[in-house]
Amino acid sequence: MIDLVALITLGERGTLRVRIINRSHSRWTVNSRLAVTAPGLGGDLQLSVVRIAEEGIPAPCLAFPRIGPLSASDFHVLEPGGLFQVERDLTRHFSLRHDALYLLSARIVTESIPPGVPGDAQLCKSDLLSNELVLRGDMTLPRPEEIAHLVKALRDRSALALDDLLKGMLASCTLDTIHADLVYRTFFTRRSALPGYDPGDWRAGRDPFSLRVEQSLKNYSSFKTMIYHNPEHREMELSLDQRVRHSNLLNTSARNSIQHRGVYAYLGSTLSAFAFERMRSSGREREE
Amino acid sequence: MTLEASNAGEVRWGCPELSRASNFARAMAEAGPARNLEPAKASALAAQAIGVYGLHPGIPSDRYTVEFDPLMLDVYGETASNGDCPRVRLGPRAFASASTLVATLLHEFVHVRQIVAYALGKQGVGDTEMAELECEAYYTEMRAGKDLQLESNEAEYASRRFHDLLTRLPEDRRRLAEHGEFRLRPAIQNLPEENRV
Repeated sequence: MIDLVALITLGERGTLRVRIINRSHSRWTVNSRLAVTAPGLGGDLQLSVVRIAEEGIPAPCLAFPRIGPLSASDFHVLEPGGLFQVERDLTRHFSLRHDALYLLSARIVTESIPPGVPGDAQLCKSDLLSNELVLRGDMTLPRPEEIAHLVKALRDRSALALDDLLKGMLASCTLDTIHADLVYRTFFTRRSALPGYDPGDWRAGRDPFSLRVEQSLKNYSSFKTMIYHNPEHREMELSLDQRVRHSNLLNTSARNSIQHRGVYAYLGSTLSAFAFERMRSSGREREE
Repeated sequence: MTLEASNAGEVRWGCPELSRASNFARAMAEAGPARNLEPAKASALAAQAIGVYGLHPGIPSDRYTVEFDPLMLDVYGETASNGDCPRVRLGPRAFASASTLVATLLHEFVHVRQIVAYALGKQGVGDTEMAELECEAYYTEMRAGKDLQLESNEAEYASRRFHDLLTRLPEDRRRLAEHGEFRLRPAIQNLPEENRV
């Protein structure tokens, strides 16, 4: 069971909003600094931003922070079920072209004090999140036509590039449900264009592309769980579920295939199946 | 290579006279808690630290700025390329003590020089180069900290960060960096053309 989970979304006024939620029944003490650095520099919030659709040009990381030593006042007590939220200005760190699309990769590696362990001698490093987000250079979400264009541009690229894009779009779904349709549409229309694609493989459960997408989706387990735990998001996602269920995009047999193969979240009615499963397992844990 | 790049010198510092160092330490103590600093007072203290300890990034003073940002609470200091004119911002944490302020300024001045010398304002650099740029800043902090007899906690922090970043460098560059040799200019100049914006 994951005790702390984090979620990164776009905030207001061109910021990144980082939320850390304590899902355990114990009190955690978390480092609230969440200093932004380039990946590999050991900051709490490690960001890399790559311009997509143009062979992945890295956006210049232009800020060199001196994080400085931690002090006792940097730690924030997070009660069970508690939420800690900060916003960080991305434009402080990266130079983004307003007319471009970017894939932002984020990783939160922060220090926290586990429950029942007093003092900072027992600080543990927590890898709270590894996530991607597609965003425009003006710090807004991509428009549907931009994503559609991107998908088209990626037709001849590798499945891996598409996989990255899908992950980015999945993360974007938290703010704009239209992207869920696009993810779904991409998932089903792009498979057949992949080299070596064989419909027989898909039917027999051996489709390598869908397996990769499935793996990507599984990597989002903590992210999805957070959505389930946040009533505000859950309501939004359930309305998305209904919307997709009634849309022409989803044909019943395809949906059943997905459910059968255990691909969760954002793909039609599987979200509620996932939520139900979480509910059941939470109930079991409580009983135990 | 730009004109500025060819003219960028080394970051400099100097041991202060005892009376000037004491006056500065007293001014820091009298300024009160760092989180309540007035911007004007913070700017004056930073200017005093630069003067007393002879801190210089090795480029003309009209080519960079040093500012106080009372809202920058996540880090001690930060240098942004800001086009061709690097901008150093100091957060309230940098004013915790005289040693902290001097160490932070020294660290950021290394980045000021790097931004100008390697023309970083117009390109993205890879993770390894970023790690080496930071390594150089902490190495300078360590060296200067010893010369200037800064408080031990600052030296310990710089040393810890330096050694942590060293592990992220390739073997050949790590061996050089351990001895304070940073051959970054060729590495950065050889970055792929698409790193340019």
